[in-house]
Amino acid sequence: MISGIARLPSRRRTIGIMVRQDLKFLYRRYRLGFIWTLGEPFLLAVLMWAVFSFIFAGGRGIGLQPFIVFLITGIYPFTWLSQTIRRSPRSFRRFGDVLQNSPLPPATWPLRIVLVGMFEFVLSIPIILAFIVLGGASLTWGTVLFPVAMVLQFLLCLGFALFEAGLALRWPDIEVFSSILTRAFFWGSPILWSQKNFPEWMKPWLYINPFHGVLDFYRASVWPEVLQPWPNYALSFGVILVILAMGLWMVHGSGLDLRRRV
Amino acid sequence: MLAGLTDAGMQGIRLTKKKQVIKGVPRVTSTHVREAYWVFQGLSAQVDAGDALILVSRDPVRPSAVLRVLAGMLPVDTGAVQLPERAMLLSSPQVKWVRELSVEQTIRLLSGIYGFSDAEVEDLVEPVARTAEVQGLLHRPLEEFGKPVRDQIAFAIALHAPVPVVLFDHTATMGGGDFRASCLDRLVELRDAGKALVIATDRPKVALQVGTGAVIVRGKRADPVSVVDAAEFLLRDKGKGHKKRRSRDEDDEDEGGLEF
Repeated sequence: MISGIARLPSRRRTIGIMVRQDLKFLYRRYRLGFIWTLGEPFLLAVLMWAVFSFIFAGGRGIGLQPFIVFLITGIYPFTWLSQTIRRSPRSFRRFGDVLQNSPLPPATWPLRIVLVGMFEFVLSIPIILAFIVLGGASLTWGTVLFPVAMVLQFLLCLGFALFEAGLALRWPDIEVFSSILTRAFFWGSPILWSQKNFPEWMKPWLYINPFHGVLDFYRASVWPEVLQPWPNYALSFGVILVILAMGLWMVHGSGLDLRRRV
Repeated sequence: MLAGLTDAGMQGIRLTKKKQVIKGVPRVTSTHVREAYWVFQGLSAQVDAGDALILVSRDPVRPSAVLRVLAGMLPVDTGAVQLPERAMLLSSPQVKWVRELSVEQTIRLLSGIYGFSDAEVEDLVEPVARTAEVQGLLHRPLEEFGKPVRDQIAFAIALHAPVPVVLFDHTATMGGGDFRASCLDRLVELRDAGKALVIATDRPKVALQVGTGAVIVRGKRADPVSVVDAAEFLLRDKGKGHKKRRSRDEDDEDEGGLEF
Protein backbone atom coordinates (compact mmCIF):
# COMPACT_ATOMS: atom_id res chain seq x y z
CA MET A 1 0.00 0.00 0.00
CA ILE A 2 2.69 2.44 1.06
CA SER A 3 5.01 1.58 -1.86
CA GLY A 4 2.24 2.45 -4.33
CA ILE A 5 1.67 5.84 -2.73
CA ALA A 6 5.40 6.44 -2.35
CA ARG A 7 5.81 6.22 -6.12
CA LEU A 8 3.46 9.15 -6.69
CA PRO A 9 5.89 12.02 -5.98
CA SER A 10 8.20 10.79 -8.75
CA ARG A 11 5.22 10.97 -11.13
CA ARG A 12 4.14 14.50 -10.22
CA ARG A 13 4.66 15.92 -13.72
CA THR A 14 2.52 13.18 -15.21
CA ILE A 15 -0.18 13.89 -12.62
CA GLY A 16 0.19 17.61 -13.39
CA ILE A 17 -0.56 16.96 -17.07
CA MET A 18 -3.60 14.90 -16.07
CA VAL A 19 -4.92 17.74 -13.89
CA ARG A 20 -4.40 20.31 -16.65
CA GLN A 21 -6.16 17.99 -19.06
CA ASP A 22 -9.14 17.59 -16.72
CA LEU A 23 -9.45 21.34 -16.19
CA LYS A 24 -9.43 22.01 -19.92
CA PHE A 25 -11.96 19.29 -20.57
CA LEU A 26 -14.32 20.30 -17.77
CA TYR A 27 -14.80 23.82 -19.01
CA ARG A 28 -14.37 23.57 -22.74
CA ARG A 29 -18.09 23.22 -23.42
CA TYR A 30 -18.98 26.57 -21.83
CA ARG A 31 -18.67 29.92 -23.56
CA LEU A 32 -17.17 31.47 -20.44
CA GLY A 33 -15.03 28.40 -19.95
CA PHE A 34 -12.83 28.42 -16.90
CA ILE A 35 -14.45 31.55 -15.48
CA TRP A 36 -17.28 29.35 -14.22
CA THR A 37 -15.04 27.59 -11.77
CA LEU A 38 -14.82 30.88 -9.86
CA GLY A 39 -18.08 32.40 -11.00
CA GLU A 40 -20.40 29.69 -9.79
CA PRO A 41 -19.45 29.78 -6.09
CA PHE A 42 -19.24 33.56 -6.31
CA LEU A 43 -22.79 33.86 -7.60
CA LEU A 44 -23.98 31.39 -4.99
CA ALA A 45 -22.36 33.46 -2.24
CA VAL A 46 -23.95 36.64 -3.56
CA LEU A 47 -27.32 34.90 -3.70
CA MET A 48 -26.98 33.64 -0.13
CA TRP A 49 -25.86 37.06 1.02
CA ALA A 50 -28.88 38.71 -0.64
CA VAL A 51 -31.29 36.15 0.80
CA PHE A 52 -29.98 36.31 4.35
CA SER A 53 -29.20 40.03 4.47
CA PHE A 54 -32.30 41.45 2.82
CA ILE A 55 -35.07 38.89 2.61
CA PHE A 56 -34.61 37.31 6.05
CA ALA A 57 -32.69 40.30 7.37
CA GLY A 58 -30.94 37.77 9.55
CA GLY A 59 -27.43 37.81 8.23
CA ARG A 60 -26.31 39.54 11.38
CA GLY A 61 -27.66 36.78 13.55
CA ILE A 62 -26.25 33.66 11.96
CA GLY A 63 -22.80 34.57 10.73
CA LEU A 64 -20.01 37.01 11.42
CA GLN A 65 -19.72 40.48 9.90
CA PRO A 66 -19.15 41.45 7.15
CA PHE A 67 -21.51 38.64 6.17
CA ILE A 68 -20.54 38.53 2.48
CA VAL A 69 -16.89 37.94 3.49
CA PHE A 70 -18.05 35.29 5.94
CA LEU A 71 -19.92 33.54 3.13
CA ILE A 72 -17.14 33.81 0.58
CA THR A 73 -14.56 32.36 2.99
CA GLY A 74 -16.87 29.40 3.53
CA ILE A 75 -18.26 28.73 0.08
CA TYR A 76 -15.02 28.49 -1.89
CA PRO A 77 -13.51 25.82 0.41
CA PHE A 78 -16.87 24.06 0.39
CA THR A 79 -16.82 24.02 -3.42
CA TRP A 80 -13.56 22.07 -3.34
CA LEU A 81 -14.99 19.55 -0.86
CA SER A 82 -18.32 19.32 -2.66
CA GLN A 83 -16.81 18.71 -6.11
CA THR A 84 -14.51 16.05 -4.67
CA ILE A 85 -17.33 14.20 -2.93
CA ARG A 86 -19.54 14.31 -6.01
CA ARG A 87 -16.94 13.35 -8.61
CA SER A 88 -15.09 10.65 -6.67
CA PRO A 89 -17.55 7.73 -6.89
CA ARG A 90 -17.13 7.82 -10.66
CA SER A 91 -13.36 8.09 -10.70
CA PHE A 92 -12.51 4.41 -11.25
CA ARG A 93 -15.33 3.99 -13.73
CA ARG A 94 -14.35 7.12 -15.61
CA PHE A 95 -10.68 6.22 -15.75
CA GLY A 96 -11.29 2.45 -15.69
CA ASP A 97 -9.62 1.62 -18.97
CA VAL A 98 -6.49 3.55 -18.02
CA LEU A 99 -6.44 1.84 -14.64
CA GLN A 100 -6.58 -1.56 -16.33
CA ASN A 101 -3.67 -0.71 -18.58
CA SER A 102 -1.39 1.32 -16.36
CA PRO A 103 0.87 0.33 -13.50
CA LEU A 104 0.28 3.71 -11.85
CA PRO A 105 -1.07 3.25 -8.31
CA PRO A 106 -4.91 3.24 -8.22
CA ALA A 107 -4.80 6.21 -5.82
CA THR A 108 -3.68 8.32 -8.80
CA TRP A 109 -7.20 8.66 -10.15
CA PRO A 110 -8.96 9.89 -6.98
CA LEU A 111 -5.93 12.11 -6.32
CA ARG A 112 -6.41 13.64 -9.76
CA ILE A 113 -9.93 14.73 -8.80
CA VAL A 114 -8.75 16.23 -5.51
CA LEU A 115 -5.99 18.18 -7.26
CA VAL A 116 -8.41 19.62 -9.81
CA GLY A 117 -10.53 20.94 -6.92
CA MET A 118 -7.46 22.27 -5.15
CA PHE A 119 -6.30 24.11 -8.24
CA GLU A 120 -9.71 25.73 -8.62
CA PHE A 121 -9.58 26.76 -4.97
CA VAL A 122 -6.12 28.27 -5.31
CA LEU A 123 -7.41 30.35 -8.22
CA SER A 124 -10.24 31.62 -6.02
CA ILE A 125 -7.87 33.01 -3.36
CA PRO A 126 -7.50 36.42 -5.11
CA ILE A 127 -11.31 36.69 -5.16
CA ILE A 128 -11.47 35.93 -1.45
CA LEU A 129 -8.81 38.58 -0.82
CA ALA A 130 -10.69 41.09 -2.97
CA PHE A 131 -13.85 40.53 -0.94
CA ILE A 132 -11.96 40.89 2.33
CA VAL A 133 -10.68 44.28 1.16
CA LEU A 134 -13.95 45.44 -0.45
CA GLY A 135 -16.00 44.16 2.47
CA GLY A 136 -14.07 46.39 4.86
CA ALA A 137 -12.39 43.53 6.72
CA SER A 138 -8.67 43.05 7.17
CA LEU A 139 -6.23 40.20 7.46
CA THR A 140 -4.99 39.23 10.91
CA TRP A 141 -2.23 37.04 12.36
CA GLY A 142 -4.61 34.10 11.79
CA THR A 143 -3.67 34.19 8.08
CA VAL A 144 -0.75 31.92 8.96
CA LEU A 145 -3.33 29.18 9.51
CA PHE A 146 -4.63 29.45 5.91
CA PRO A 147 -2.01 27.08 4.43
CA VAL A 148 -2.55 24.71 7.36
CA ALA A 149 -6.25 24.68 6.49
CA MET A 150 -5.41 23.89 2.87
CA VAL A 151 -3.24 20.93 3.88
CA LEU A 152 -5.95 19.63 6.20
CA GLN A 153 -8.60 20.03 3.53
CA PHE A 154 -6.38 18.27 0.98
CA LEU A 155 -6.07 15.28 3.33
CA LEU A 156 -9.81 15.32 4.02
CA CYS A 157 -10.68 15.47 0.32
CA LEU A 158 -8.16 12.75 -0.52
CA GLY A 159 -9.61 10.51 2.18
CA PHE A 160 -13.14 10.99 0.87
CA ALA A 161 -12.05 10.56 -2.74
CA LEU A 162 -10.23 7.29 -2.06
CA PHE A 163 -12.98 5.92 0.13
CA GLU A 164 -15.81 6.75 -2.25
CA ALA A 165 -13.92 5.59 -5.34
CA GLY A 166 -13.14 2.22 -3.75
CA LEU A 167 -16.59 1.82 -2.25
CA ALA A 168 -18.32 2.63 -5.55
CA LEU A 169 -16.89 -0.56 -7.06
CA ARG A 170 -18.68 -2.63 -4.43
CA TRP A 171 -21.68 -0.45 -3.83
CA PRO A 172 -22.47 1.84 -6.78
CA ASP A 173 -25.29 3.49 -4.78
CA ILE A 174 -22.64 5.61 -3.10
CA GLU A 175 -23.04 7.91 -6.10
CA VAL A 176 -26.53 8.85 -4.91
CA PHE A 177 -25.41 8.98 -1.32
CA SER A 178 -22.59 11.39 -2.18
CA SER A 179 -25.16 13.98 -3.15
CA ILE A 180 -26.77 13.68 0.28
CA LEU A 181 -23.35 13.81 1.94
CA THR A 182 -22.60 17.07 0.13
CA ARG A 183 -25.81 18.60 1.44
CA ALA A 184 -25.03 17.32 4.93
CA PHE A 185 -21.66 19.09 4.81
CA PHE A 186 -23.23 22.30 3.55
CA TRP A 187 -25.82 22.56 6.28
CA GLY A 188 -23.75 20.83 8.97
CA SER A 189 -20.69 23.06 8.60
CA PRO A 190 -20.35 26.72 9.57
CA ILE A 191 -20.75 28.03 6.02
CA LEU A 192 -23.93 30.01 6.61
CA TRP A 193 -23.97 29.92 10.38
CA SER A 194 -21.46 30.55 13.08
CA GLN A 195 -20.84 28.45 16.16
CA LYS A 196 -21.62 31.49 18.33
CA ASN A 197 -25.27 30.40 18.16
CA PHE A 198 -24.53 27.15 19.97
CA PRO A 199 -24.27 26.63 23.75
CA GLU A 200 -20.74 26.22 25.11
CA TRP A 201 -21.15 22.55 26.05
CA MET A 202 -22.11 21.70 22.50
CA LYS A 203 -19.24 23.41 20.70
CA PRO A 204 -16.60 20.66 21.09
CA TRP A 205 -19.02 18.15 19.56
CA LEU A 206 -19.37 20.26 16.42
CA TYR A 207 -15.76 19.38 15.60
CA ILE A 208 -16.64 15.76 14.91
CA ASN A 209 -17.41 17.26 11.54
CA PRO A 210 -13.80 17.60 10.32
CA PHE A 211 -14.68 20.38 7.90
CA HIS A 212 -15.64 22.56 10.87
CA GLY A 213 -12.04 22.66 12.08
CA VAL A 214 -10.80 23.34 8.55
CA LEU A 215 -13.19 26.28 8.08
CA ASP A 216 -12.14 27.81 11.42
CA PHE A 217 -8.54 27.86 10.22
CA TYR A 218 -9.52 29.58 6.97
CA ARG A 219 -11.67 32.14 8.76
CA ALA A 220 -9.06 32.87 11.38
CA SER A 221 -7.47 35.00 8.65
CA VAL A 222 -10.20 37.58 9.30
CA TRP A 223 -11.76 36.51 12.60
CA PRO A 224 -9.12 35.00 14.90
CA GLU A 225 -11.78 34.93 17.64
CA VAL A 226 -13.43 31.93 15.95
CA LEU A 227 -10.56 29.75 17.11
CA GLN A 228 -11.50 27.32 19.85
CA PRO A 229 -9.36 25.35 22.32
CA TRP A 230 -6.88 23.06 20.53
CA PRO A 231 -8.52 19.75 21.57
CA ASN A 232 -11.40 20.65 19.23
CA TYR A 233 -8.99 20.82 16.32
CA ALA A 234 -7.26 17.65 17.46
CA LEU A 235 -10.66 15.98 17.19
CA SER A 236 -11.23 17.33 13.65
CA PHE A 237 -7.71 16.30 12.63
CA GLY A 238 -8.22 12.85 14.13
CA VAL A 239 -11.41 12.38 12.10
CA ILE A 240 -9.56 13.49 8.95
CA LEU A 241 -6.86 10.88 9.61
CA VAL A 242 -9.47 8.18 10.16
CA ILE A 243 -11.20 9.06 6.86
CA LEU A 244 -7.84 9.07 5.07
CA ALA A 245 -6.86 5.71 6.57
CA MET A 246 -10.23 4.23 5.57
CA GLY A 247 -9.77 5.58 2.05
CA LEU A 248 -6.28 4.10 1.71
CA TRP A 249 -7.52 0.79 3.05
CA MET A 250 -10.48 0.81 0.68
CA VAL A 251 -8.29 1.33 -2.39
CA HIS A 252 -5.03 -0.41 -1.51
CA GLY A 253 -5.51 -2.62 1.49
CA SER A 254 -8.93 -4.24 1.38
CA GLY A 255 -7.90 -7.04 -0.94
CA LEU A 256 -10.36 -5.60 -3.41
CA ASP A 257 -8.94 -6.34 -6.82
CA LEU A 258 -9.69 -3.02 -8.45
CA ARG A 259 -8.45 -3.89 -11.91
CA ARG A 260 -10.73 -6.92 -12.09
CA ARG A 261 -13.74 -4.90 -10.97
CA VAL A 262 -13.62 -1.76 -13.09
CA MET B 1 14.61 -16.49 -16.92
CA LEU B 2 13.35 -12.91 -16.94
CA ALA B 3 9.71 -13.74 -16.38
CA GLY B 4 7.45 -16.74 -16.40
CA LEU B 5 4.39 -18.58 -15.24
CA THR B 6 4.16 -22.10 -13.86
CA ASP B 7 0.85 -23.94 -14.09
CA ALA B 8 -0.88 -20.60 -13.62
CA GLY B 9 -4.61 -20.06 -13.70
CA MET B 10 -6.86 -17.08 -13.27
CA GLN B 11 -10.58 -16.80 -12.75
CA GLY B 12 -12.78 -14.02 -14.00
CA ILE B 13 -16.39 -13.03 -13.67
CA ARG B 14 -18.65 -12.70 -16.64
CA LEU B 15 -22.20 -11.55 -17.01
CA THR B 16 -24.45 -13.84 -19.00
CA LYS B 17 -28.08 -13.39 -19.88
CA LYS B 18 -30.33 -15.56 -17.85
CA LYS B 19 -32.34 -18.09 -19.83
CA GLN B 20 -35.85 -18.88 -18.75
CA VAL B 21 -38.36 -21.30 -20.12
CA ILE B 22 -41.78 -19.69 -20.20
CA LYS B 23 -44.63 -21.95 -21.31
CA GLY B 24 -42.18 -24.31 -22.90
CA VAL B 25 -40.44 -21.58 -24.93
CA PRO B 26 -36.86 -20.75 -23.95
CA ARG B 27 -36.34 -16.99 -23.70
CA VAL B 28 -33.41 -14.79 -22.91
CA THR B 29 -34.45 -12.38 -20.24
CA SER B 30 -32.90 -9.05 -19.47
CA THR B 31 -31.65 -10.34 -16.13
CA HIS B 32 -27.95 -11.09 -16.02
CA VAL B 33 -26.20 -13.57 -13.82
CA ARG B 34 -22.62 -13.29 -12.69
CA GLU B 35 -20.68 -16.46 -13.12
CA ALA B 36 -17.07 -17.32 -12.49
CA TYR B 37 -15.04 -18.81 -15.32
CA TRP B 38 -11.41 -19.70 -15.98
CA VAL B 39 -9.75 -17.02 -18.06
CA PHE B 40 -6.78 -19.36 -18.40
CA GLN B 41 -5.60 -22.47 -16.67
CA GLY B 42 -2.48 -24.61 -16.56
CA LEU B 43 -0.36 -22.00 -18.27
CA SER B 44 3.39 -22.54 -18.13
CA ALA B 45 5.67 -20.31 -20.14
CA GLN B 46 8.82 -18.33 -19.69
CA VAL B 47 10.77 -15.66 -21.48
CA ASP B 48 14.41 -14.75 -21.47
CA ALA B 49 16.40 -11.98 -23.08
CA GLY B 50 16.03 -12.20 -26.86
CA ASP B 51 12.82 -14.27 -26.71
CA ALA B 52 9.52 -13.29 -28.27
CA LEU B 53 6.66 -15.31 -26.83
CA ILE B 54 3.44 -15.20 -28.85
CA LEU B 55 0.11 -15.62 -27.07
CA VAL B 56 -2.88 -16.55 -29.20
CA SER B 57 -6.46 -17.38 -28.36
CA ARG B 58 -9.95 -17.29 -29.78
CA ASP B 59 -10.94 -14.82 -27.12
CA PRO B 60 -8.61 -11.78 -26.99
CA VAL B 61 -9.39 -11.26 -23.31
CA ARG B 62 -7.45 -14.38 -22.33
CA PRO B 63 -3.96 -13.41 -23.59
CA SER B 64 -4.57 -9.85 -22.43
CA ALA B 65 -5.12 -11.18 -18.92
CA VAL B 66 -1.85 -13.15 -19.12
CA LEU B 67 -0.02 -9.95 -20.05
CA ARG B 68 -1.53 -8.12 -17.09
CA VAL B 69 -0.39 -10.90 -14.80
CA LEU B 70 3.16 -10.59 -16.16
CA ALA B 71 2.97 -6.82 -15.72
CA GLY B 72 2.13 -7.36 -12.04
CA MET B 73 -1.26 -5.74 -12.44
CA LEU B 74 -3.41 -8.82 -11.84
CA PRO B 75 -2.82 -11.77 -9.51
CA VAL B 76 -3.20 -15.43 -10.46
CA ASP B 77 -5.56 -17.72 -8.58
CA THR B 78 -3.51 -20.88 -9.04
CA GLY B 79 0.11 -21.68 -9.87
CA ALA B 80 3.11 -19.38 -9.62
CA VAL B 81 4.39 -16.32 -11.43
CA GLN B 82 7.87 -14.96 -11.68
CA LEU B 83 7.42 -11.29 -12.34
CA PRO B 84 10.06 -9.48 -14.36
CA GLU B 85 12.17 -6.93 -12.55
CA ARG B 86 10.34 -4.35 -14.62
CA ALA B 87 8.04 -4.54 -17.61
CA MET B 88 6.03 -2.25 -19.84
CA LEU B 89 2.58 -3.23 -21.05
CA LEU B 90 1.74 -1.57 -24.35
CA SER B 91 -2.00 -1.34 -24.79
CA SER B 92 -3.70 0.74 -27.42
CA PRO B 93 -4.07 4.31 -26.10
CA GLN B 94 -7.64 5.55 -26.09
CA VAL B 95 -8.58 8.98 -27.34
CA LYS B 96 -9.81 10.15 -23.95
CA TRP B 97 -6.48 9.37 -22.30
CA VAL B 98 -4.79 12.15 -24.22
CA ARG B 99 -7.54 14.60 -25.14
CA GLU B 100 -6.78 18.32 -24.94
CA LEU B 101 -3.02 17.72 -25.16
CA SER B 102 -0.23 18.76 -27.49
CA VAL B 103 1.93 16.12 -29.14
CA GLU B 104 4.71 16.65 -26.60
CA GLN B 105 2.31 16.43 -23.66
CA THR B 106 0.95 13.25 -25.20
CA ILE B 107 4.42 11.70 -25.22
CA ARG B 108 4.88 12.72 -21.60
CA LEU B 109 1.47 11.57 -20.41
CA LEU B 110 1.49 8.25 -22.26
CA SER B 111 4.98 7.52 -20.95
CA GLY B 112 3.69 8.28 -17.45
CA ILE B 113 0.63 6.10 -17.94
CA TYR B 114 2.83 3.24 -19.13
CA GLY B 115 4.64 3.49 -15.82
CA PHE B 116 7.71 5.67 -16.24
CA SER B 117 8.86 8.21 -13.69
CA ASP B 118 9.24 11.91 -14.52
CA ALA B 119 13.01 11.52 -14.87
CA GLU B 120 12.60 8.60 -17.30
CA VAL B 121 9.95 10.48 -19.25
CA GLU B 122 12.37 13.37 -19.69
CA ASP B 123 14.85 11.01 -21.34
CA LEU B 124 12.16 9.44 -23.52
CA VAL B 125 10.70 12.58 -25.12
CA GLU B 126 13.34 13.20 -27.75
CA PRO B 127 13.94 9.61 -28.99
CA VAL B 128 10.20 8.86 -28.94
CA ALA B 129 9.44 11.99 -30.97
CA ARG B 130 12.09 10.97 -33.50
CA THR B 131 10.88 7.37 -33.81
CA ALA B 132 7.22 8.38 -33.91
CA GLU B 133 8.07 10.88 -36.67
CA VAL B 134 6.55 13.84 -34.80
CA GLN B 135 9.69 15.90 -34.16
CA GLY B 136 8.41 19.03 -35.86
CA LEU B 137 4.93 18.74 -34.41
CA LEU B 138 5.63 18.74 -30.69
CA HIS B 139 3.65 21.89 -29.89
CA ARG B 140 0.70 21.17 -32.15
CA PRO B 141 -2.54 19.76 -30.69
CA LEU B 142 -2.72 16.00 -31.02
CA GLU B 143 -6.33 16.28 -32.18
CA GLU B 144 -5.04 17.52 -35.54
CA PHE B 145 -3.43 14.15 -36.23
CA GLY B 146 -5.68 11.59 -34.57
CA LYS B 147 -5.22 7.90 -33.94
CA PRO B 148 -2.25 7.08 -36.21
CA VAL B 149 0.04 9.57 -34.48
CA ARG B 150 -1.26 8.61 -31.05
CA ASP B 151 -0.47 4.98 -31.82
CA GLN B 152 2.94 5.81 -33.29
CA ILE B 153 3.85 7.62 -30.09
CA ALA B 154 2.73 4.68 -27.95
CA PHE B 155 4.67 2.20 -30.07
CA ALA B 156 7.76 4.39 -30.01
CA ILE B 157 7.60 4.51 -26.20
CA ALA B 158 7.64 0.70 -26.17
CA LEU B 159 10.66 0.66 -28.46
CA HIS B 160 12.63 3.02 -26.20
CA ALA B 161 11.30 1.80 -22.86
CA PRO B 162 14.11 1.29 -20.31
CA VAL B 163 12.77 -2.13 -19.26
CA PRO B 164 13.98 -5.67 -19.99
CA VAL B 165 10.50 -7.05 -20.81
CA VAL B 166 7.93 -5.45 -23.12
CA LEU B 167 4.38 -6.80 -23.33
CA PHE B 168 2.28 -6.06 -26.41
CA ASP B 169 -1.48 -6.33 -25.97
CA HIS B 170 -2.64 -6.75 -29.58
CA THR B 171 -0.37 -3.83 -30.44
CA ALA B 172 2.39 -5.47 -32.49
CA THR B 173 1.54 -3.21 -35.41
CA MET B 174 0.27 0.31 -34.86
CA GLY B 175 0.21 3.71 -36.49
CA GLY B 176 -0.38 4.74 -40.05
CA GLY B 177 0.96 3.69 -43.46
CA ASP B 178 4.70 3.19 -43.61
CA PHE B 179 5.07 3.27 -39.83
CA ARG B 180 2.68 0.36 -39.42
CA ALA B 181 4.44 -1.57 -42.17
CA SER B 182 7.76 -1.20 -40.37
CA CYS B 183 6.51 -2.28 -36.92
CA LEU B 184 7.35 -5.96 -37.24
CA ASP B 185 10.90 -5.25 -38.43
CA ARG B 186 11.34 -2.94 -35.45
CA LEU B 187 10.09 -5.66 -33.11
CA VAL B 188 12.60 -8.09 -34.58
CA GLU B 189 15.35 -5.51 -33.99
CA LEU B 190 14.14 -5.01 -30.44
CA ARG B 191 14.14 -8.77 -29.81
CA ASP B 192 17.59 -9.18 -31.33
CA ALA B 193 18.87 -6.33 -29.17
CA GLY B 194 18.16 -8.52 -26.14
CA LYS B 195 14.72 -7.42 -24.99
CA ALA B 196 12.23 -10.09 -24.00
CA LEU B 197 8.89 -9.64 -25.79
CA VAL B 198 5.54 -11.17 -24.98
CA ILE B 199 3.03 -10.48 -27.72
CA ALA B 200 -0.70 -11.14 -27.66
CA THR B 201 -1.85 -11.15 -31.25
CA ASP B 202 -4.47 -12.43 -33.64
CA ARG B 203 -2.28 -11.94 -36.73
CA PRO B 204 -0.43 -14.98 -38.07
CA LYS B 205 2.22 -12.75 -39.63
CA VAL B 206 3.26 -11.42 -36.23
CA ALA B 207 3.73 -14.94 -34.89
CA LEU B 208 5.75 -16.07 -37.90
CA GLN B 209 7.95 -12.99 -38.25
CA VAL B 210 8.69 -12.08 -34.63
CA GLY B 211 7.91 -15.10 -32.45
CA THR B 212 10.41 -17.55 -31.03
CA GLY B 213 7.79 -19.55 -29.15
CA ALA B 214 4.03 -19.54 -28.72
CA VAL B 215 1.23 -20.55 -26.40
CA ILE B 216 -2.42 -21.11 -27.24
CA VAL B 217 -4.31 -19.73 -24.26
CA ARG B 218 -7.57 -21.44 -23.45
CA GLY B 219 -9.93 -21.55 -20.52
CA LYS B 220 -9.31 -25.23 -19.85
CA ARG B 221 -5.62 -25.52 -20.60
CA ALA B 222 -2.83 -23.67 -22.33
CA ASP B 223 -0.67 -25.45 -24.87
CA PRO B 224 2.87 -24.43 -25.74
CA VAL B 225 3.21 -24.72 -29.51
CA SER B 226 5.59 -23.67 -32.25
CA VAL B 227 5.07 -20.30 -33.91
CA VAL B 228 4.00 -22.11 -37.08
CA ASP B 229 1.29 -23.97 -35.17
CA ALA B 230 0.19 -20.70 -33.56
CA ALA B 231 -0.04 -19.08 -36.99
CA GLU B 232 -2.04 -22.04 -38.29
CA PHE B 233 -4.33 -21.82 -35.28
CA LEU B 234 -4.99 -18.18 -36.08
CA LEU B 235 -5.57 -18.85 -39.77
CA ARG B 236 -7.87 -21.78 -39.02
CA ASP B 237 -9.73 -19.76 -36.46
CA LYS B 238 -10.05 -16.57 -38.40
CA GLY B 239 -13.51 -15.17 -38.04
CA LYS B 240 -14.72 -17.88 -35.70
CA GLY B 241 -14.32 -16.56 -32.28
CA HIS B 242 -12.47 -13.29 -32.41
CA LYS B 243 -14.50 -10.64 -30.75
CA LYS B 244 -13.95 -7.00 -31.23
CA ARG B 245 -13.08 -5.33 -28.01
CA ARG B 246 -15.71 -3.07 -26.72
CA SER B 247 -14.53 0.46 -26.28
CA ARG B 248 -16.17 2.15 -23.38
CA ASP B 249 -18.14 5.16 -24.23
CA GLU B 250 -16.97 8.30 -22.65
CA ASP B 251 -18.73 8.87 -19.44
CA ASP B 252 -20.90 11.83 -19.10
CA GLU B 253 -18.80 14.23 -17.17
CA ASP B 254 -21.44 16.70 -16.28
CA GLU B 255 -20.29 17.10 -12.76
CA GLY B 256 -20.38 20.81 -12.32
CA GLY B 257 -22.75 22.57 -10.06
CA LEU B 258 -22.86 23.14 -6.37
CA GLU B 259 -25.31 21.35 -4.16
CA PHE B 260 -26.40 22.46 -0.80
